[in-house]
Amino acid sequence: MESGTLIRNRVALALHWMLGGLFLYAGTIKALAPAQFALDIANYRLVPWPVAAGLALYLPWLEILAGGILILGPWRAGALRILLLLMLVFLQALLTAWLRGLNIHCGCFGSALATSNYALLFLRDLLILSGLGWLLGEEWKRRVAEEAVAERETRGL
Amino acid sequence: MLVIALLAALPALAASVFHPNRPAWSREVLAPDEITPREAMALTEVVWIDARSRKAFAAEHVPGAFSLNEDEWNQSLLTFASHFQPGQTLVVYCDSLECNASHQVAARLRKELGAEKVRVLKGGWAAWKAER
Repeated sequence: MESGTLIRNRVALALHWMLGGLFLYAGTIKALAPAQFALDIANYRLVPWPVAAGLALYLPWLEILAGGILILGPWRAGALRILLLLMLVFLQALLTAWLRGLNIHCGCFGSALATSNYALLFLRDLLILSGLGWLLGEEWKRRVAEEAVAERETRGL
Repeated sequence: MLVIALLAALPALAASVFHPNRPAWSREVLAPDEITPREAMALTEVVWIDARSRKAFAAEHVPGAFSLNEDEWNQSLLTFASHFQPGQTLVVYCDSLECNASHQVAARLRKELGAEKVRVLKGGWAAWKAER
């Protein structure tokens, strides 16, 4: 294997673990206090209360499961797509709250790391989104390469 | 992707039934750690915690309430801790149904002070005034 590819693979693995750990942590904190997370969601004033309550119960477990899968391996592409979608939704919610001038905690990590500095929050989420996007691109490249090898082997037979 | 999304629904469903800090499905219904103004007023030994800003507290507050907001947390908590007796019931309030400072302060009181009987006033200061 080329050294460049080896480095890319190692960076990808480290990033899988970092982002997986981050989502595991974020999900666990919120799963421990769903009532608090429901209030955080409701404060964005985007969805009615019952929807906020439902999301507060569901989203932390989705983050935990997808974060765990990023670390452990199987179904990584699916987990990456889910987390990418989640980040897009979080970013959109954050942007609309910013534009409406709401002074709220983002709720991203429960009551830990609570800040209302939208620029920082937006930058942090963009960085996470970029990492997830890059990993999904790497997964896609790996799959294309594997399919090409499989096709060559089939022709060889 | 769909399998992961469906798998996550299983613990979420369990949490909606068994989690001690689960949210109520309606804002008319109390969450497990919430208390109505009427119930709180009926308590004989209660310590009121005002989680609003110092300015709002100075303007008006529940008689005997202690100001404990997150902006001045460390200093205020030290002062409060010297008065706090384990076993006391603490009722935390913020402005209204729309704020969540009371929930955050209640969570920190449980975690950092080890307080066990911490309740959040449903509807906050606005509801207390209306009930009074």
